[in-house]
Amino acid sequence: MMNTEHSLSAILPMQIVMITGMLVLLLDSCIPAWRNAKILSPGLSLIGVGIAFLSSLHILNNPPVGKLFGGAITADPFSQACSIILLITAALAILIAMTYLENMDLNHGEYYCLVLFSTSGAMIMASALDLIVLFIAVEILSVALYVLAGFARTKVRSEEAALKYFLLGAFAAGFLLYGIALIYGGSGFIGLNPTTNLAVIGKSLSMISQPPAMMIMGLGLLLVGLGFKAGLVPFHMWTPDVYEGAPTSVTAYMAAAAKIGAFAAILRVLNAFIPISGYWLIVIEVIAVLTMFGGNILALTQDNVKRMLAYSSIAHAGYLLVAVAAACNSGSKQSILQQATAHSSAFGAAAFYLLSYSLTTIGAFGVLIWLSKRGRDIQTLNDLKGLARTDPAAAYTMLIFMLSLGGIPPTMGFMGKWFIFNATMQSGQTWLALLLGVASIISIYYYLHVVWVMCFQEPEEGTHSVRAESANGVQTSIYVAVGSTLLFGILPNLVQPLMDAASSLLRP
Amino acid sequence: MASSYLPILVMIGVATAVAVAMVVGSFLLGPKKPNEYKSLPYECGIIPVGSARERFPIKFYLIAMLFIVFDIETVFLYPWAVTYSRQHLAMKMFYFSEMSVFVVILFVGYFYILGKGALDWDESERTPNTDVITPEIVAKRPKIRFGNEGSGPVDLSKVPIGPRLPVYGASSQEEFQSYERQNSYVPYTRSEKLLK
Repeated sequence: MMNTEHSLSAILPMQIVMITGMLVLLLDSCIPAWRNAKILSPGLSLIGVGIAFLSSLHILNNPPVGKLFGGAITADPFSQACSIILLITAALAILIAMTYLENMDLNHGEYYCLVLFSTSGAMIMASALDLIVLFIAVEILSVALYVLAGFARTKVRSEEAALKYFLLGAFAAGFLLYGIALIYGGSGFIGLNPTTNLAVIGKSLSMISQPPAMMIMGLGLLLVGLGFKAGLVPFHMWTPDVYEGAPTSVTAYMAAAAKIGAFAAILRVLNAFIPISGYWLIVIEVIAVLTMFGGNILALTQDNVKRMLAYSSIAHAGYLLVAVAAACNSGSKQSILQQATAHSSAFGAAAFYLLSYSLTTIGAFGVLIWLSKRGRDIQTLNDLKGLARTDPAAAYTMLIFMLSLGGIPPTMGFMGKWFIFNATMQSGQTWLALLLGVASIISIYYYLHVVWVMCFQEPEEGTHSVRAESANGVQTSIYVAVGSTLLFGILPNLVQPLMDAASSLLRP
Repeated sequence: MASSYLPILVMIGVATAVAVAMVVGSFLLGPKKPNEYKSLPYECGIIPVGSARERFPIKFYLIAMLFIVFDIETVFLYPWAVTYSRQHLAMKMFYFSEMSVFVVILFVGYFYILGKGALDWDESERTPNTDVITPEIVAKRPKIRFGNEGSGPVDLSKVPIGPRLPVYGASSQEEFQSYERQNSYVPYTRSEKLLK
């Protein structure tokens, strides 16, 4: 107990986010929502996120020593890097929500508190060393997201999205928990007191030759649960329906935050299991290929932009999984040094890609919100016809986001893909790197299709897109996203500290 | 070994005897003044026969949900109290602070539901129970009500002042009354109808 304060100070960013969430909740119950939700609640949330960001930076620069909470939680640079990306995402999501909620008359302060709660859950996912803590973090993230998906309560599509997400998510949580139970049981066979602590398991796995079957089964089930959250291909069925039905601002947040949290967890869990990667690496590689191609091919025929972005988010999960596979490759062909280099560059690439993906996705959804008229969503490609003529600013920002999602220079998306490609080549999985290239080429078709519709088609009569009224929030968010997409695309070195932090996670 | 089960057997016997004695005793000794309500099969105060598509206030659902939240708190307090009593002083302080955090978080939730009016069973304070709607009552109403999201803030200047029409969409007193007849949630009228 002597280091309780030490432990508590190491999880300060999450505490700040949670406490801000509670303050927003209290504020909302004191003042009628329709009066304060315009400025007060989002303002308070942004302040909280900002303070948490600073404290996360502080912890990144002065990492705490020793075990925190008996080793259940860590505040290593990897977790702080993920937290920083998450907090940036949350801030942008709050900004775009300000405009969207105002336009759709959904101005309830609960929105911001739910966003903050789920952000804190995702942050804990990135810092959990114990699988039970990981499970609780997944639930904190998900329960808030289920409610957010159904936030437009009077819209049937939104209700459908919430229910679908909730039922399938509860099912996936069952897999996750069952997997944790089997790993707990399996850890008893490798000379440990049964434990769910990843650090302990990783250390003892590296000392044995033959892992117990129970543990491999457990890891498989764990991957099902986390794969559902990340939207990997055999478990992706919910993604398009939920992304389409949920309010656009929620979709933007969910697409970014849930994926960051899930990939932080996947990276940390699989990192602990690298010593037995011979048993599961091929599974990750196959899922990565399926996810990249499945997402991209299904996205080709979508005429609903939200649905198209949902499939594209699946494809991006596939690219990220390629980075995971590169990080965890410990084939016998390579020297230990080569493996370590590939490992660290893959982790750095994953962090960069997560940042670029979340900035771009939030920006792309932000443009849809920017254009949404009062009470009406912009969802289909038809709504974007001739946008370059009716609203050039929106069209050209969308253009940059599409280029970034497609991985075309000089954007961040290109650099992200380049880093992943590079790490995969370093780890010796050339075929995987080539398939990543092929998948990106497929994806360019549907991203550029949006650009073509915006720039080379006549605007339809009567569907002149009108900017949202009082769009300051979303405008700020879009400009920040565009600026950083271009800036970090041209000067990726600026993100180097973040990548170094992420790649400092060592192999067990 | 088997003898250790004797107290349980005795307890089962006593419990059965008391239950039987109470039912039989009240049957033999109690005054019998039957009326139609009393002779209906008992189902927690609900009319036992009727349409399955019953409308009942959504507040019951809300109360059930809140009950679960605070009930879980009590369940959580029990094991905490048991372990708390076995710790030495320094640990006790730590245990106490942990539980305080939990209770404070719970109180945040409590103040939230209190502020949102989830515990007001009748909304008479916010919508006074009068037959005539006055401009003062209209001014008190929130612009955004739950359930009309997406349709924009209510234009309070257009809310009809005059006789009360509680159902949205009813344009006249007659229309409202016919709506009431079709879909009413008025258990007493219903039960009286049933008994006649």
